[in-house]
Amino acid sequence: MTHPVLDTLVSDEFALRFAFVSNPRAVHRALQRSEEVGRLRSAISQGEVTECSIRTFIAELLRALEYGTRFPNEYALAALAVALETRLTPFAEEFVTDLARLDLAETPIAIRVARETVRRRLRLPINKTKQFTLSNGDRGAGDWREARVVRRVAVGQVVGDFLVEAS
Amino acid sequence: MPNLEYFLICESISTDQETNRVSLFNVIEDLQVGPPEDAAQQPPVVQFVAVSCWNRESGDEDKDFQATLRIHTPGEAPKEFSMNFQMERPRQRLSLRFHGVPKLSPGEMRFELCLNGQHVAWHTVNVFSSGAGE
Repeated sequence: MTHPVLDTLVSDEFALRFAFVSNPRAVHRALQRSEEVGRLRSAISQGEVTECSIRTFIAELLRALEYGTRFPNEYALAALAVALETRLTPFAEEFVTDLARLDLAETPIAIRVARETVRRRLRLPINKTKQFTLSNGDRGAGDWREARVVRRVAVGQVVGDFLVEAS
Repeated sequence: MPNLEYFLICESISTDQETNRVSLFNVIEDLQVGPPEDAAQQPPVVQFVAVSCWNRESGDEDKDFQATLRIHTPGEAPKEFSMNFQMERPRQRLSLRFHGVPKLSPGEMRFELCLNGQHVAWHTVNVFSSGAGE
């Protein structure tokens, strides 16, 4: 079952609101201001919509993709790209850049909106971190040594090409 | 060469995964330590982060840079920590996180930020003894 906020993206009413917008940059702007994208962003930030559920939702959407026919859910894909624009996670990066790289006549708007999103993502600052731990820290002595960063993962999370599963 | 937007030492840092906005918590200006004879004294902070933010200048693309944090503690030789980076975006944030703080003596603890070996900025923390003036 998908979250209601994702369901609204595939409705005809949602697509009709943007169908007459002149160019992809304007569609991007209109999507950014739309209530649906705002609600999706807050659902993602509050954890109501997870990256895993978005991945499943995209897989469902793409079932309607047929060669030679205009993709009916392209505004939903475009809305997802806009909603994930500022999110700096591997999934968001993968989704937005992969969509922007496509060359499909069936979904021209979503691809161009994703390219606009990639362009904007390139303006976001990069964060780089290095960690040091004090050896004998409990005694207040010793030297700082570079720490091995252990990344915590959760079941269901996608890390690179792998899905974390419970054993 | 990139130019520095800000450089601070704080207790912790948080980057919003949704918006990529950064929040710095408890900028460290002063630290109070126990008297030197107190062997069981607790460190005034358990961790700190040196945060710097750099702006790209024209010609910085595809070049490698090295930011170095030099920590000058009273009565000890300076310690250096380096980080290599490239200005892939107009702005680059660097954070060096330190877990654990060594025993400090009263005086000035100075954090010096260098870029490619050249001094760029200071952040000074005053270390006071809790027994001072009593």
